[in-house]
Amino acid sequence: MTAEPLIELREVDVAREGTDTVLVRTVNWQLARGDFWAVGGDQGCGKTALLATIAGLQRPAAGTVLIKGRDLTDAPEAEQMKWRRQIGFVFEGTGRLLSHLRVADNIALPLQYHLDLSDEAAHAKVTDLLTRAGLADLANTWPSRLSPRQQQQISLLRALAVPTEVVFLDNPLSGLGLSGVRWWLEFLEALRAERPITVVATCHDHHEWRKLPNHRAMLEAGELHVISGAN
Amino acid sequence: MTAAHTQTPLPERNCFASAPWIATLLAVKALAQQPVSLWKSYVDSSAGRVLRFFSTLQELGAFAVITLGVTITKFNQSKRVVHPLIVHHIWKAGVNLLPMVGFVGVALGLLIIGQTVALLSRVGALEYIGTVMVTVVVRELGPLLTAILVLARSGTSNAVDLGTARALGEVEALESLGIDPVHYLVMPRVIGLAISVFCLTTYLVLLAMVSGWVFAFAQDIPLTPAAYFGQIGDALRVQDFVFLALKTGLFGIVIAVVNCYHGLARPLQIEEVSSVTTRAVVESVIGCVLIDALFLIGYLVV
Repeated sequence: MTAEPLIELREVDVAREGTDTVLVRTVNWQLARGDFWAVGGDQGCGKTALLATIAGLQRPAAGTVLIKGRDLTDAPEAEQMKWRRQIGFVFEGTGRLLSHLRVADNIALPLQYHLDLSDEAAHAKVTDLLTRAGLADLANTWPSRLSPRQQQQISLLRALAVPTEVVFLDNPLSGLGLSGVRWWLEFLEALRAERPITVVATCHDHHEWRKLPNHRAMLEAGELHVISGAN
Repeated sequence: MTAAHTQTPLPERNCFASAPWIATLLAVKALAQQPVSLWKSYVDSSAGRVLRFFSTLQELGAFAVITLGVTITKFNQSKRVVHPLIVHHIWKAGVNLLPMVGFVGVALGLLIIGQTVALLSRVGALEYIGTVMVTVVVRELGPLLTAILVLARSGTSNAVDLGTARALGEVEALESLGIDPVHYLVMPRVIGLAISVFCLTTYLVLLAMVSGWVFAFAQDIPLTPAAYFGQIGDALRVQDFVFLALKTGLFGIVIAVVNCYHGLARPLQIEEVSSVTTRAVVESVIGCVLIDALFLIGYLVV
């Protein structure tokens, strides 16, 4: 008996956000707990829209997205929010940190909002995360003072602050130098050694992720092709 | 044969056609020849504006209902994050405005007493000073002026802040973190502005009344403080307090809801932020004036 997939897409069409333009057609895809998927494809082929659809941030144009066997598309808001508490999403580019909060407050926000931690407890957790990531000196910096690379790193820490089951990474390695890429690979490797977190990452070139992903897929001509993996 | 005879004649052309005033005349003439299409386009554009107005009104109503629902159901949720935000917005929209509102309150008292006291003493009706102050300051100008000051100072900054956050994708980031943007961004602003407008109006009214008496005293008007404040006390009715609280609270809610709606309701580009802020200011002023008119009817009826 195979375990129920964490996320399952059935006949899903993915549209560009806010439009009817379908970018990816008829996606049938299963993601199990602990998987690391790297999804490649050219710029504008629909990787971000696919990621947002799987994460439940965007409605599919057609088909069904099942989260732990349940379709959340028309589920009550409370249930959708409960799912979103279990995911982390690192947006492409600057990671979309909240510009009115300093770095430490950005990371502390989900902690205090969802877990109702006191200022001291949240501060201790944030300091621990920043120290493990080697970014402790950025705690009191405003997001606008950070480089895009640092903003995405902080965005990942913010996503991981609460107990997260799945992390969606939208092209975080794009435009990074060797040291930047190494940071992501080492951090994610250490994280996955610690807990079986599921990761779905997009990229232009699968080689960027080295040997970290155990599954790979490619978006091409509006279709998702699984190159290697469970499907 | 003269040189003029040998010249090639210039091609015939209307040399005035390029003059701006002729071009305008020609354009007007062309428009006049199409009265039906001009009228039709005018009707189309007016109808479009009316439809857009009602559509915006409907969306604003829906946004207000959502905000009310979130406020009722989630007021005590995530207290450590949201309640300090309410205090922050009371500070930003209320406490920070104390000097400006204080200045306007003092000036308002001076202006009203300055204008009316000469007239009232001429007709021997000085006992109506209190009634004039209550009618003008407590019922009308005080709340409306305060609301406009809060709109100018805080309402616009809310529209800009939220519009920029929307344009930069920060609202989507909040959603991805499982944080309800209405709960985190809108509710604290609505409560903060409602409380701020009420408190600032009370402050402005008190200052206007005191400064009014000071001005009357400075002009040697035979009016003791006891008589002056006694007149005001006699002119005030219970419904004045109730209506003042309701009206100022509603002004704050309207300003916050309209500005938050324009900042958040639809996807924005960064260059659109200034235009939505302008629209938010205009609609907030219209909303406040309409509410004021409704309360005027209330004063006449009750």
